[in-house]
Amino acid sequence: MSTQHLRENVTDKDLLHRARLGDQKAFTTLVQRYESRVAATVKGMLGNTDESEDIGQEVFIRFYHALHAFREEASLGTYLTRIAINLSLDELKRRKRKFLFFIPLSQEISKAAMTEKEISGSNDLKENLQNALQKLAPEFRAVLVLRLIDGYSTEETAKLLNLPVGTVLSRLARAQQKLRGILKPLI
Amino acid sequence: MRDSMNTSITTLLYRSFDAALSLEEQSSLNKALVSTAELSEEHRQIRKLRTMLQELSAQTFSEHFIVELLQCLSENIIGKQEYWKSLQWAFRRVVVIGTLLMVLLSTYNVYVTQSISFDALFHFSFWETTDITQIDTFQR
Repeated sequence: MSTQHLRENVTDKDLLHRARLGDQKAFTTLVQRYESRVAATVKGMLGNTDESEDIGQEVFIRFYHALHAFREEASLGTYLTRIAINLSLDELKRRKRKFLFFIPLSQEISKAAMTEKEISGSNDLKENLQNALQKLAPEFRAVLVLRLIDGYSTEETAKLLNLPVGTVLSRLARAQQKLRGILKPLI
Repeated sequence: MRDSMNTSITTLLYRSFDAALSLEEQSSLNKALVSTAELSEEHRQIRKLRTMLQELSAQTFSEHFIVELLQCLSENIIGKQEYWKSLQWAFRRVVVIGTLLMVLLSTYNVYVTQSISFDALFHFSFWETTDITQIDTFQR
C-alpha cells in the first residue's frame, strides 16, 4: 500500500495497529500526519532553532518507543502535543540553567533589548511573532502556544499543562497583554 | 473605585475570548465596549493579535526531518544518547560535589593553620615524606 494512500484513507487507529506490528510505512505516515502540529508546538515554544528540530525528533522517537504503551485514552495529536510541550519546557529549563552559569546577566539583558529592536525592524510577520513569543516567560508562552496556536480549548490546555482553568485564563490574559505591548507597531 | 472597575472590565474582555461569560457579564462588557473607545481599541488589538498568532499554526520541520528520524530510529541512536546524557549528568554531580568538598576542606585548613598559602590550603606543611615513613606501621 502506498504512503499517500495510507495518509489519506487510513485512520490513526489502523495506522497505530500496523505500526505496532512493525510496519514502517504506517509509522512514517503517522509522523507525516502530525509533523506540522508538533512543529507548531515546539517552534512556538523554542523559536525557529536547531534545538526545535532535535526536540521534534525526540518527540517522535519517544512516541515510537511508547507505541505499545500508548493506550489511546487521548487522541494521538493530544498525546504528541503533551510530549512536545513537556520536552520543550524541559529544554527551556536547561537553557535557563546554561544562561545562569555561563552567560553574564548584562549580556542577556542587551540580547533581550536587541530582540525588541528586531521586532520593530523585521518585515516577516512570522519571524516577528516568533521573536515576540520568545520574550514571554515559559509558563505564559506554553498557554499561548497551546490555546492560540495549536487551537486547544481552555479546558484542554489546562489538562495538558496540569493547571486549573482559572490559572490558564489569567496567564492567557497576561501573555496577550505583554505581546500587545511588544508587537504594538504591528497591531 | 474607577480603577478596580476598569480592571474587572479588562478581565472580562480577555475572558470573553476564551470562556463563556454570564448574561450579566456579557451585557456589562458590551456596554463598556460601546462607551469606552480605549476598551474597544484594546478589543480590536486582541482580536488582531489572536488572528496573527494563528499564522504560526502552519509550521514544518526541515525537509529531511522524517528521513533523519527514521535513520535515527534504525540506528538506535537514542539509546546511546540517553546513556551518554545520564553519564554526563552523573559526572557533573561528582564534579560539583567534589569541588564543594575541596572548598570546604581548604577553608578548614586555612582556618586551622591561620595562614593563607598554597601549603596551608592543602595542609602540606604538616605532611612531609619523612613523616609518612616514620609512622609505626611503616617502621614495622
